[in-house]
Amino acid sequence: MPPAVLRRYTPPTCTLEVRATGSALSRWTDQTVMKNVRFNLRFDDPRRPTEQQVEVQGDRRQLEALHATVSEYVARLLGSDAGLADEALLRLAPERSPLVAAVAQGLPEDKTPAQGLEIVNRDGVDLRVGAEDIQLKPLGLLAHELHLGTLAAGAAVDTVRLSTTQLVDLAEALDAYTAEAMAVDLPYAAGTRRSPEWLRVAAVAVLAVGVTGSIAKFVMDVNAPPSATVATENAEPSELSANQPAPEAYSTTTLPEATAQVPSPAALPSPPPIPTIPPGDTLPLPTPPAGAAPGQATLPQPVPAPQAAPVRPPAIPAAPPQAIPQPPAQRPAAAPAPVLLPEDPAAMARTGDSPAPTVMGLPGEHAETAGGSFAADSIQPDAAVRSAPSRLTTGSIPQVGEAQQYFQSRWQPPENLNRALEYRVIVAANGVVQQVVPLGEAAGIYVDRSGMPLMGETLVSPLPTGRRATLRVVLYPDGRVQTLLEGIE
Amino acid sequence: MPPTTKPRASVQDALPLANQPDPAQLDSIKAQLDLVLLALEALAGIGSDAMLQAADTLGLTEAIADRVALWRLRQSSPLRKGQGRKRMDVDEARSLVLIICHLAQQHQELIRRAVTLLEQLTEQGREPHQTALLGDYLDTFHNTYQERMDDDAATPDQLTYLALKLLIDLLFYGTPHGARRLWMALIDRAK
Repeated sequence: MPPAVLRRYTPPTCTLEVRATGSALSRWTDQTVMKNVRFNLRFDDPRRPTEQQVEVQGDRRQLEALHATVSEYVARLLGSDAGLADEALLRLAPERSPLVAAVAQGLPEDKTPAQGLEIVNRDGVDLRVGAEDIQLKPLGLLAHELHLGTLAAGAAVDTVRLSTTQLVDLAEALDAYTAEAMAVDLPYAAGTRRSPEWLRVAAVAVLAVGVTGSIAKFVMDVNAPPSATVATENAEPSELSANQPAPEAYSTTTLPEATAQVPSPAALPSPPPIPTIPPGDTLPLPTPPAGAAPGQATLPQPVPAPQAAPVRPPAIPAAPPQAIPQPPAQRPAAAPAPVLLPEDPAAMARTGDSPAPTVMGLPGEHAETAGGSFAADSIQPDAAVRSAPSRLTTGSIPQVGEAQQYFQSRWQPPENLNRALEYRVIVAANGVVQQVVPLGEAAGIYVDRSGMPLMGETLVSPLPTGRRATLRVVLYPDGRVQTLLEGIE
Repeated sequence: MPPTTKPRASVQDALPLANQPDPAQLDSIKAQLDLVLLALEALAGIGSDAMLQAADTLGLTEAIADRVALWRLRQSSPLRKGQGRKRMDVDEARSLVLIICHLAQQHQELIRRAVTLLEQLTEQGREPHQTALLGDYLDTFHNTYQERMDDDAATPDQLTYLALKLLIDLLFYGTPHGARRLWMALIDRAK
């Protein structure tokens, strides 16, 4: 029975899922020969509510065409000559930026913003013509328009406007898939010699592989595709959380009983796990190299939030209660992803709606913490937030102060700790810890030494009006503790 | 010290080159590498210590052994003031690519925050200078550029554009496939 393969790539602003059936031909090749490749790609735009997020699906040819188009586009974008930028290239976002408006005045009338194409088009190559009619074109320096071509068939729209961060994420997801198509093949070849016992037992092999950058990869090698992919999806998080030997999870799950049908894309109701997974995995210390060479880290405290925060506001942690089952002490390693089972689309919708305030706060805050060389210049409206992030947020409800005291009295930094540990703690209305999410690998490893209360223990006094709060707790190696209020709902 | 030969070979595989670049192409590569480093410096405040540390971590000390070697490489940019146009060979360029991407990865969080901020401001029709993070970056970039480069022709607007373009490029370079992207961009640009 040919195995089914599911790969999922979840950079912060998009989710790429690829499903395929492994071919029997794989037995004689070094690589997995995949048949019936189908993919889902979801663009997570933090500026839009969930119901307006765009999702497309397609087959192998379309996936390859998309990859080729995006790669080529990015290559040209990076290869374009900024040093010799002429006036026309000074536009950031053609329609709105004052910079642009100023520049646009000097342009001939027929030069509409969409013709910012010179950026990538100086060689005369028309990027708009791609396979499967998939095209990308620049709208100034910061925005890009993806024409879905044949991919638009199942989608509500035929173009997607991508910000640069979204483009980076899309390119990375596609690259990661392409690169991994090779990488995953090795274990696969071995898989052909699996014993029947192995096939029978619903053994779960969790293979730990480094997750580079900010992409969390989950590879499920489902031995025979499931009566329903949905089932597979559901099985994943629990199994992952039950088996977390490695900090950066890359798991291979084998399920025994399943039929060998490629699930139709429609059968995949695009489970909402996506949005919650990235924050867990990418927010936290997503730049491991910093740890690898502590000597040169210029960010004094690798406080993770800001990177993804602007894209995905902290309100997200409002993860469903079902997801909580595990007390933190039992989690040896980070892999916080599985903990978040986003079955609460409403919460996601909310996050999509209300990014603005947090977004502006966080970057500002970090401008100071992180870049020591950036003297605060007070033009910025959020200067107050930036200069005293903890005080400002601490003041919002007394429980933050209580939590601060709680951790202050318990936090004993381990000797060899060289980075801050961050946790997101969701406190129920009665002051009891409802969920703890370690942000980053180190936070997961040291969770049992963080003094973190177990789920169900009381952390603070009851919250007003039956609401629950999301706190962020930062434990520094020098013994300091910082508790911030991420949100109340 | 880590072995330098093996990484080198794999570096050449990872960052392939069809033809040996001619002097003009090499000039373009040198100039661009120096600019990307300048953007990193201006944004993240990294200095030569961090660059040398990265070289050490990556096993590239053969190409970039010390401060002087690094200075020589950076000084080789044709845009530089003074006695520029010093030598840089292709392997040295490769080493700088790896160092840049290593550092960009380390500071990816900051870079992403800066780009996201830029996107937000642009959406709101506000100037990048209005935030501390971008304002400081642009100031530092302008100042350092004018201090080091022999380029009186660049207008402030052009420098701002250059700085922002480099910032966006850094976001790509800091991804797992960043080194290859940077290398291809250098070659593309040098054509």
